Amino acid sequence: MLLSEIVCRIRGLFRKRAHDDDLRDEIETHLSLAAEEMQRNGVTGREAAVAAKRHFGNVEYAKESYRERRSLPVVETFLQDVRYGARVLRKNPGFSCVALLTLALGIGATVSIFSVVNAVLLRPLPFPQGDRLMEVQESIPKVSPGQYPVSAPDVADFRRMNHSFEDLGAYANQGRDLSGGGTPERVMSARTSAAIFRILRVAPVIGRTFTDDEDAEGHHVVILSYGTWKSRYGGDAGILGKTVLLDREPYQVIGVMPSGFQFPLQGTPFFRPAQVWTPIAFDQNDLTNRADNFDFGVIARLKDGASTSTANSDVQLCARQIQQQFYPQQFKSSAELEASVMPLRDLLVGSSSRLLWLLLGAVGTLLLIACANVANLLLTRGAERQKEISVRVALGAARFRLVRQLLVESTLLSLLGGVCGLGVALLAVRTLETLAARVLPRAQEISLDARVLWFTIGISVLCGIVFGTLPAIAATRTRLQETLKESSRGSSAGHGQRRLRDAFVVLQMALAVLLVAGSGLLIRSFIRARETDPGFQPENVVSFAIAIPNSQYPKGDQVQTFFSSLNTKIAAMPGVLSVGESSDLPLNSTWQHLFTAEGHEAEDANSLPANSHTLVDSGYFSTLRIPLIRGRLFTDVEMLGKSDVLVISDGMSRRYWHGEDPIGRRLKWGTAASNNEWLTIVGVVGDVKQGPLDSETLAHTYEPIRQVCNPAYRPNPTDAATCGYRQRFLLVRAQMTTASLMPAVRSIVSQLDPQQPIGRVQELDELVSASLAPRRFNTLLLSIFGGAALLLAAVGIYGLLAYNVTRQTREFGVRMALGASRRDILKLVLSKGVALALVGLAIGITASLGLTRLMTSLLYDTKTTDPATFVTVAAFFLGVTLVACWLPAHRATKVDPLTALRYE
Amino acid sequence: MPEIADRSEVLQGTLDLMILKTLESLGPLHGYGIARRIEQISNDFLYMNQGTIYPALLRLEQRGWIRSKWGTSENNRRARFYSITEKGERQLTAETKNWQRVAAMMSRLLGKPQES
Repeated sequence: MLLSEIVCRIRGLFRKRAHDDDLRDEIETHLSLAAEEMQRNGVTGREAAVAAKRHFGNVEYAKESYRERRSLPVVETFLQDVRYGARVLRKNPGFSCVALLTLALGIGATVSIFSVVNAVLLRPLPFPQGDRLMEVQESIPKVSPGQYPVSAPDVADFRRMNHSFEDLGAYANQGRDLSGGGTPERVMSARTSAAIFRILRVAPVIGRTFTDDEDAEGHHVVILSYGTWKSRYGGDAGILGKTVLLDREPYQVIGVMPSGFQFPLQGTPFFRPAQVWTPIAFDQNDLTNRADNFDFGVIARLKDGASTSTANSDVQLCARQIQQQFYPQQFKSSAELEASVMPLRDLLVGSSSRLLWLLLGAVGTLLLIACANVANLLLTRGAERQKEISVRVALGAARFRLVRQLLVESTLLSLLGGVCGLGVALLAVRTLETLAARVLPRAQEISLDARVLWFTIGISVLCGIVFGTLPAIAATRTRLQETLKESSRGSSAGHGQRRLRDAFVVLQMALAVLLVAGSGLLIRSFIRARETDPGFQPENVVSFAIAIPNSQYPKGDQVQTFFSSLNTKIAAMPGVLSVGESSDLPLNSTWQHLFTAEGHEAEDANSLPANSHTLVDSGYFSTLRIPLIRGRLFTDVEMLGKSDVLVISDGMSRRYWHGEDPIGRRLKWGTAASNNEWLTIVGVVGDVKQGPLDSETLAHTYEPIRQVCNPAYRPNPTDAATCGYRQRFLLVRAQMTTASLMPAVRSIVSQLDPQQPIGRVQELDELVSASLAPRRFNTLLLSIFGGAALLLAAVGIYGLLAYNVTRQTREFGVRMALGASRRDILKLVLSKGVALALVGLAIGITASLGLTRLMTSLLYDTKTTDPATFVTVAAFFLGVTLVACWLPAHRATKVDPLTALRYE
Repeated sequence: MPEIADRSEVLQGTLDLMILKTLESLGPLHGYGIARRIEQISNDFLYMNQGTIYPALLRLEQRGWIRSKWGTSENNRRARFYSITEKGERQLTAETKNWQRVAAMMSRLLGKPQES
């Protein structure tokens, strides 16, 4: 077909009435001209008209072939089907509403979860050609497993040696006090190489980013995030060149990044988004310690032609060279430095992809249940339309044509469902974003974009075909004569159709059981996790962070004086029960050591045991009410300086001293040969969860906070006066609300130092609850899906039984007239429903036992085959089904035999 | 009128050529005019259902070989008048040559009917 012809034909799809009128006129003129010519040749009027028509041939046939040629018949019949389908849907509002609601629920849930998958897994990173961005990581597998950030001196080596990257830059987080103009506040900052902004290909909205010269020490320049610029400086257009204070040192503002720019990205392991950026400024300390302080994130942009795998072998080669050339003698043989690259996006997504695919699978199952539900509705309606269809078959409609028309109808239905579903998703997505914020990376990017829209259309059409096909085929498989002869409403639906309906209900039940079982296991895990004793009493304890700057408090004594007076003043407040200090909060510990227990020396450095570690003061244990099990806590003298003592957790004591009394035993960090001092164990306290509540309890050690020389600011470690930890959490147990406590605390702090901000105010109750946020997220979502699945399955079996009861009204009437009791009828209907439910339950439980294995990593203290959960799920499921079956069964008993028989 | 058995049905594909030729030689005509003209040229030997001319006219118009305009017939009725386009004339020339080649070839192949 020529293009011009197609254009003409498409034009022919419109203004059909006018085109038809034209054709009619043309043919009438033709006939009248023909008749007049015959009359001139002597034929009489009536005969002339008849002869003209005969000569013309079949007028209707001519018109029909003209019309077929005028437009696109395929499209035309399709449009006809659509119009017809829309009419049918309008005429059955009850059916349409139930089907639409079901589909809106199924499609809406699927689209919502897909929008999360899209934002987290599918969408490219918010940087130009973000898929070329790589994170470089190092590892010394013999010393510590896993991949971690890069050691500072290696950064320059990688940059010089590699052949794979356009450029490469380093970054590291640092909490800092931002002051100068407005109240001082604690902000997250990041030290970044100048190269980082080039690699990310993001330009500032005003000003500039760092120059390579500024990578060196001594350049006090700062770049602000858009949010900080707007909120703290009111979007001051003249901010460039102005001075702000970071940890009380002046920095010149040189640029503001665009709104939405985030770096490091939320969800990057070890790092957090920054509000201000300062130059990387490696100092002598950073650069001399080889094979130590793996603290710096490194990102790089692949050159054209380089791939992840070539870059991987490239950096591995670099790592080998670095080790050979620069590592101190003792590491050259024992520790093998390795390096690898990972696409930044994969690093970010990490373990959340498994959770997301699981959720998508769950929601897909829900959609399948919805489809089965609608399929059954269509089957039921197909049976009701049997007569209409039989008549059309009798009049010569091809079966293919009928199936196509029914499919168009079901697709139309599911597209409408998709539109409603999109509405559901629109509402759900905002909620999801809030829920996911602390759980998933890139949660703030969740939205309904073009890809989600196409997905909705695709999934809707697919659903229409999935749930429409079997009912359409079943509806058109009609035995003509029987149906047309059939006078009573009734038992015309064949055995096969009844089986198909039963099968759909069983399928729904089985899938619903699967989802309910999955959510049951998660709920049980959640309850287990919530019941877990964190090892401390979080009620009525509030914590906040204070970091006092080196510039103002250069000496360890000054640090100690500040914290002592703060501690004493808070403790003296009415209502305050006790105050403690620590380097980290429980449930959030990040500090890990490898250690050697005296007398239990490991054979080689590779098999050193690990423990988590916190610096505390003497009030810490009483404030958190962590029980002392053996020995004693730190004395006031020990709190004042170095005395090389340690308190360990009960689990550690049992695990490494096997029932011996650990009091008086010694241990040291690293191998027995390391330069570290031996520390003496003076006490054993109860186990405390140092990681999230639903994680394994680690061996843990506590050390006096004064005993350690501040590693955060790297003062000269030999100068004892600079010891003392500057960045502390204060924990306050008080008989009053946080709202009334904190203003008083703030005023005490500003009395001590008006420039000093406090940060991260948090009730420990919240801390406990926040540590379960990921679990709450997936449990909540899966439970919603499980509940919805159960509801749909219940509606499904209800619908089936209700339909059966309506059809069997006459039969019940006869039975009752012959003496059956209402009880018998009730049993008859119920037993049908229960039989289906039991089959569904059996299949569902079997499938669950196989499939819940996929969830192992999501469960806590719960087996994937937990009998209690499965019994509860089965009982709950049967209960709901019984209610759904009882309603129609009860209605069946209300049949009046006389009325029923009069139906004839 | 001769018996129907003596008449020939319009060969598939030749109708287009006949319409184009008719419009080229007579100028704008309505559907009835074209049909009559074709029948007259063949001395009523060619028998056609006149209705079939309309789908054919539509096809030619969709291909851009003819165009149409509304006007008034000789008995004062609304009628559509068709005329050949430049593109149609080119098509006619090409098709005519083609037809002559095929016809010459066929008559050579079949020889004279009375000799067989």
